[in-house]
Amino acid sequence: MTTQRHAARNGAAKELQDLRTKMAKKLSGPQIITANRLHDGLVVFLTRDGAWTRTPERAQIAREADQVSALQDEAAMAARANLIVDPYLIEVTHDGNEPVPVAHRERMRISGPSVSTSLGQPAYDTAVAYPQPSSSAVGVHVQI
Amino acid sequence: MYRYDEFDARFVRDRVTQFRDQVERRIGGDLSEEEFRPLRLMNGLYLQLHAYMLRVAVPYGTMSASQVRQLAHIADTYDKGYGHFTTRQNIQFNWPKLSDVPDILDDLADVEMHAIQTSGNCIRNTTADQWAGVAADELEDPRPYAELVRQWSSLHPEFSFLPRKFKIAVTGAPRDRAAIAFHDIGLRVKKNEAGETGFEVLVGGGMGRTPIIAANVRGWLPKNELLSYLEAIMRVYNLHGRRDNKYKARIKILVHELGAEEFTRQVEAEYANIDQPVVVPPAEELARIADYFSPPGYEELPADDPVYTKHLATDPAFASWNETSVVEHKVPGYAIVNISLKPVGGIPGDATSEQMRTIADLAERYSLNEIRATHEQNLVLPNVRKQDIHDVWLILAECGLASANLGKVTDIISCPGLDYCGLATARSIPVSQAISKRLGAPERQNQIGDMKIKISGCINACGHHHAGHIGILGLEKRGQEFYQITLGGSADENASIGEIVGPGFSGEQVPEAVETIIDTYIGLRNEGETFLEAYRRVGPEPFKEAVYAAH
Repeated sequence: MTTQRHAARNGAAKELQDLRTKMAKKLSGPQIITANRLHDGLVVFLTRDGAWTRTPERAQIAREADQVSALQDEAAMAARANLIVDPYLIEVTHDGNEPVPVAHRERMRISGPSVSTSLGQPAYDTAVAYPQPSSSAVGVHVQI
Repeated sequence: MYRYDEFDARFVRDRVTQFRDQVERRIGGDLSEEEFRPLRLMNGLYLQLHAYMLRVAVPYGTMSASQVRQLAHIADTYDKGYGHFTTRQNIQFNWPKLSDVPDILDDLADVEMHAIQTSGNCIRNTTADQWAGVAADELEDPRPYAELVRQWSSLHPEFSFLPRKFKIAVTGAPRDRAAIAFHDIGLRVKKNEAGETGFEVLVGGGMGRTPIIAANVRGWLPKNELLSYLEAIMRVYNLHGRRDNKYKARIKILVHELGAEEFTRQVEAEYANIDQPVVVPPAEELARIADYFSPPGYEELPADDPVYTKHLATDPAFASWNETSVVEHKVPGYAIVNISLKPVGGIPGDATSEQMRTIADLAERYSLNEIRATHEQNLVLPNVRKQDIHDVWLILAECGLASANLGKVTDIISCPGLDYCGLATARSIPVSQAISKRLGAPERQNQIGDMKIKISGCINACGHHHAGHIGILGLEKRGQEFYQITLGGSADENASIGEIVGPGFSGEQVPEAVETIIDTYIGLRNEGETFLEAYRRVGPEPFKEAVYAAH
């Protein structure tokens, strides 16, 4: 049993390291972290109070290396807690209001499909309820 | 239509049970994303730009009314009320929740559908001529063989972890409506000099960043040796296909690097050593499968129907739609009715749940229960009595499905692009909508004539831009979308790869550039000459001059 726990801890540490490596892109400007929510895949952003929200208004912005590391650690924990998948850093411009991603792709992830038509419901639905945290999410601040 | 036997039903249902357990373990934290990703992909579940996407297999594009009705139910219950028909005759749902996917798969299994082989480095869902079994020019219905390939390839242990994905297309007609030359393997039913029916085998075609037209490796293959020969091809690919570089892993690269002659030699050597009795299915099994594709209960009807003829003569709107949408059937008194999913300014390939239900009802009432999906993102009612065509048209028109534009400039293939796809570099749907609106007036479309515009939102070319008469490729440069235009591509029996016309355009400039190209064609075409014929005659220069003079 002890061996299994040790292996599990080692596995978790490796996973955290892998996630940091994946997120460690060479970005120059201010950065925020985005991901997709595990249970429904919708786009989310890590906020200043450790929650994951559907819009980037309250996203935590990192400008220094230690701030970036802290964001990465928090995102890796949320991934480990099965709240989100595939977290990564994106570069934003920030003039004091809402951070705006530099990359067109990331702006599209925020705005939703630009081809919303009469087909079905609006594609971009910010009113989607957040998932209940699972027992393994202990220690991660989740906005309900 | 093929119906599941006990084995098929159990196999599909077992996969659902298995995946339900995997999803529960993922949500509960027992599986990491790294562990779960290959499992979800094996069940057609992608994580896209905005959400999960479930790609449902439509083997060789054939569906029953109850299957389409179930797709409508899934769109309403678990998604946002619509689905998107793809360039591989499948359907995608863009907004499923992970926790709902096992229920969706169970609902699919209820109507003998699944999402297996719609992702991953396996042999993907086999596609076919959408008019298979009913086309007047067909030598033989290829679907029993497509079904045979499906059964042979599903979870084949030797071919479940190939160097890359692998796509097979099949046609039974000399006119290629299945783009077989752009597939990893393309099969065409053909007669030999003795009049026996077999297959012509093409290998190594594909689009993506390296478009290649398939090489002919076997002029004629006996039908009953199809699986042995495919197995020989797959073994050569499995042995030599590159696994160190995903951009060089498709079989087209192997065929190109070895050369078609050497590749063929290796395939033939492998084929000569294959234990035929092990691979060749028993005749009874072939007969069992073929039985499912026996002609449905056609009535004996006169070739011409007076009611239909009268409507054509008296209703110009019907006649106009009929001209683009209705095609000769091999059975007298019947016709193939094609349904455009390209309303002017609409999203190519999208259908609402309401439209799906209408089509299902029409199939049940008027088309001997069959519907086909096309690789050009349209649908087909393959078995409509001529006397019923006018009624079908009226019902289609009521739900926005009677666009008279098939094969015309607004019948645009478009991948989902950056509006949905995680791999895309630019949007493609809005570009197709803008072109469609600009050139969508009926008289303008008729003036232009046959035209295939195809748009991809990235170099992976899911929108088949390489094979477009006018192809458009969306790219991104310094945070801005821009678009390359290619000319002269074709996916038919005289396949060709489009040539880049010159520097790219912004999204806003594309419709005008396309119109300039079209006007140039209209200005230089000979009597009755199509765009492709004119382009092949005059080459790219007149078009380049016109487009870049205007910009």
